[in-house]
Amino acid sequence: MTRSADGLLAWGSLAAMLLALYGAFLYAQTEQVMGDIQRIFYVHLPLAWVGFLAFGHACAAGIQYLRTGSRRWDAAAVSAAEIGVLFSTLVIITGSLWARPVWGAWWTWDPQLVTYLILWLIYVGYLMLRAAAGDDLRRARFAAVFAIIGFIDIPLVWLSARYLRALSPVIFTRHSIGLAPSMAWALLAGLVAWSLFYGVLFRERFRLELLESRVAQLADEAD
Amino acid sequence: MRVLAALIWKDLIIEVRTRELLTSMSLVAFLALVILSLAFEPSPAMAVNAAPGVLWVTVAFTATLGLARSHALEQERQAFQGLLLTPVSRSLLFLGKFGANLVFVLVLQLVVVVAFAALFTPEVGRRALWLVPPLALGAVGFTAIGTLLGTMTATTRLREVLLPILLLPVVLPVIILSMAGLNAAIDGGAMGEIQRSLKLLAAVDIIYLVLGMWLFEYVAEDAA
Repeated sequence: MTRSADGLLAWGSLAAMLLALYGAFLYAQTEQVMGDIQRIFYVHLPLAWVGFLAFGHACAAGIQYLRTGSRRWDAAAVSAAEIGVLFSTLVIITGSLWARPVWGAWWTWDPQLVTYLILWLIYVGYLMLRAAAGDDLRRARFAAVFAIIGFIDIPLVWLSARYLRALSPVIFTRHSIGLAPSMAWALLAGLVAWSLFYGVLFRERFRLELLESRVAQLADEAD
Repeated sequence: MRVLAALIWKDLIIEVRTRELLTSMSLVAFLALVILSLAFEPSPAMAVNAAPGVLWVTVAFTATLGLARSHALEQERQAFQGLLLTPVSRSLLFLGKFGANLVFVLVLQLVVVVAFAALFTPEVGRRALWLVPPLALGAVGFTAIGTLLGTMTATTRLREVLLPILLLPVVLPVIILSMAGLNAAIDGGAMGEIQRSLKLLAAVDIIYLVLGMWLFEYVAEDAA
């Protein structure tokens, strides 16, 4: 992608984000039971989705790296994983902010929450592994392998967390909220905006990673 | 098959001669149980309820230490590099290391269960045979991923510290399912309940083993 296309992506993301904010705060009608608190969902849900996709992106890039050995895939994997950790941190924070007034607790051991927490822990581990792995080639391989294990593990975590819940009484159930049309539109706008924003962040981070390895290469040559 | 046996035998014979790994693992596990026992001063009823959790917390952390040590051993005098030079496929190398590690973890589990029965409640000892399937199947999945990640972390800067950070969240499904099986087994609950968790556990074990055999190929070279 050229720089002008990146610029277009950035402006598009800005426009979509403003639209999504308008949708979340003004356009969507107020939820009757939860009131204004529910509006955090227009940020929380898109972030959760995009965060999850980012980890999928890191896993796919990891597979591609192992297949091709091209450094660009490794750069893509680390960019996706870093943004994924950022987004999923925000997911957990926004989720807690919502849960406190609605459920009366910052945190519960609902299977979805457990899965997201473990997902977050696995990819924080991924970043630690990268930091500790030593030389470049080894780092790229180890990181790719761990990204694959981590992502394949997610359905298993969800399954086992659900299994455990089935044994003890479920205190909180996430009853499905019938979405009014205005709410559905606000949610959709949020999804589009955060996906585009992910694209912008990813492109910037990806370029930074490539530049960093270029600098390291030049420094090696100069020695 | 003979190659596999030789690979496993190599690690076991080292252990028989030095007795480092199992002695230190057992001592750490015993200490953990003593501390937990002092902290809770559990009544027999509470001990039965807490058994699956206490057993797995002790086994998981101690086994992680042991796995890290077991792989650090491969780094000494480039032992692992020597193994890579032998005409043995990478997945067989993985299975060999996995087999030896599995023996260590199973022995550790035995020690932990006996110590638990002595320190907490003999009730658990009476149902000991029922505890074998969930614990053993749990050990298989735990060790499969542990062997792969242990190979990787042994050459990184953080080593022993990094292994639990990577391993414990990933093997959480195995621990949860095994604990569910233990719960049902200790309660003397319905067979169906035990079977259901064991089936799921076996399925997760297979996934982990396949993942290990497939991905080991990519980390082996860099781990030498």
